[in-house]
Amino acid sequence: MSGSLLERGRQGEALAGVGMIDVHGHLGRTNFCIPDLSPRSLVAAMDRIGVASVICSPIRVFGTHVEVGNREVLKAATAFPGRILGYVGLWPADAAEARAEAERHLDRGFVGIKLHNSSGFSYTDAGYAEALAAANERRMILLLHCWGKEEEFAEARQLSAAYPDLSIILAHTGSQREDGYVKIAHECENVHLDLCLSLSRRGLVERLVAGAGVEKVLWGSDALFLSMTHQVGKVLGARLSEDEKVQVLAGNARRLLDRIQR
Amino acid sequence: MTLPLFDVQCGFGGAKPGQKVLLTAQDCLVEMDRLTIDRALVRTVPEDLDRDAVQSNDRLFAACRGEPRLAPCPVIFPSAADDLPPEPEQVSAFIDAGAGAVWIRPAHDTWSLKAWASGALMDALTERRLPVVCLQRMVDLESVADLAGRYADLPLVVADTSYRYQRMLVPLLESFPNVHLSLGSNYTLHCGIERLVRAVGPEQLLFGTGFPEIEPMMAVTQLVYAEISDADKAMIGSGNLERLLGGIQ
Repeated sequence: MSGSLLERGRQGEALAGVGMIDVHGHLGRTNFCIPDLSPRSLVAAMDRIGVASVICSPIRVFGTHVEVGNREVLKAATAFPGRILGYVGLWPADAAEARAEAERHLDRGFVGIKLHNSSGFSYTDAGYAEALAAANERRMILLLHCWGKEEEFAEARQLSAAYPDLSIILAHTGSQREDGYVKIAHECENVHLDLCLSLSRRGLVERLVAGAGVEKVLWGSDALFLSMTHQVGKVLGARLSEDEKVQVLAGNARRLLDRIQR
Repeated sequence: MTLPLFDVQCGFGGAKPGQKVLLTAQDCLVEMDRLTIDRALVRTVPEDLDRDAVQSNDRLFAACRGEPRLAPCPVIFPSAADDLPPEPEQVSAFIDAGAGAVWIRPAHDTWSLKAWASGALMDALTERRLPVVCLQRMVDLESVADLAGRYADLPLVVADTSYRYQRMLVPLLESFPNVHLSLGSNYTLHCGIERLVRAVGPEQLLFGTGFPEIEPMMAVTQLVYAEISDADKAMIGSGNLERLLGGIQ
């Protein structure tokens, strides 16, 4: 196939060969209607776009019974090996249990941990510490929900210093305080930014690449919480070079996955 | 063949507080060229600082004059206080000037959608079948349903909706064939287009981007990568909006 990524995306062509990796996916039910919750529907969307892999956490990471969601993600990852990868979600009531839940899944091929502060717990809660230490030993990925709040940046700075071998990804870049995201990406070598956001302002991707550096920006879709077919458009349509688009869509995530030690 | 696209959720020329530079029709056309978008129904957006819709409508019509790719979508509101021509005259003037639709901003322009306050306006719009764009943050879905039921021949376009409203959007479209939905910002719902096509068919669905605030390529990829037939994509991409504009009397 020929043509730029923009042209190929405009034609609805599957962009196989790019090796796209979506670093922010979900599986499971939430409080609004998602017409098809099946992992198969997610993989079907990936096939149409040409996405190689998506790293999913359970939508239940928002709340209690996250272990049920972890099992759903594990089942999907087993059904679609290499296509669906996993982040383990944690509930920090007991640090030892959280570590055990993390290790159970990291041992089975999960590539990191996803934490969400809608649970009411800060990312520096003691209940997460042992699990984060285990992930740090394996140089894994830590995906943090982030809505541009100063306390979120402060907690991410603390984790960055405490667990220097983690690859930390802050989600929803540009939701608020775009400058705050860029600043922390500069300050902390192991902090990266993902792009999933329903209302992505025009020019956001270009500004982040210019501000934080192309190596710090990763594509995430939030699918199936959001639409992957929709979220890929912000990178394909960005005013970036082809190499920069490939790095954002694939290369940066590949680098983070490749440094994991099992 | 490249899927033809007619953007129902687009605009330029407006401003938000603190915005120094206004986008022009030319800026809009440049972006349309870049993404191969054929035509656009355009409003004055953002509307935050627009307190004189008469003037902004005039500027919109002037900007679109001689540019067939841009169909103006002016603001309309009742003339209850005689500060504007009677509603049928407003509608006629807009159609004569090339309007492809109008949009309504009841709270922004200080009026009510209740029948006692908007009846004359809705009667005039229905008479001419001039489509009415309703942004969900300005006209909630319950109000759209109320209007659609009272004016079954009036084409209504819901835009600026959210991916979280599927439980209302499906029955709304099923109940009222005169209601149409812009799939642009912020309808980023996994399998949403596919489910809507199965539920109501493609006829009530329209391509829209949310330009200039939102990155428009997202709406493009959501449609071109949808798991629906090419014929359905063609209707959603441009055919349905062309049909609505062609139905103006």
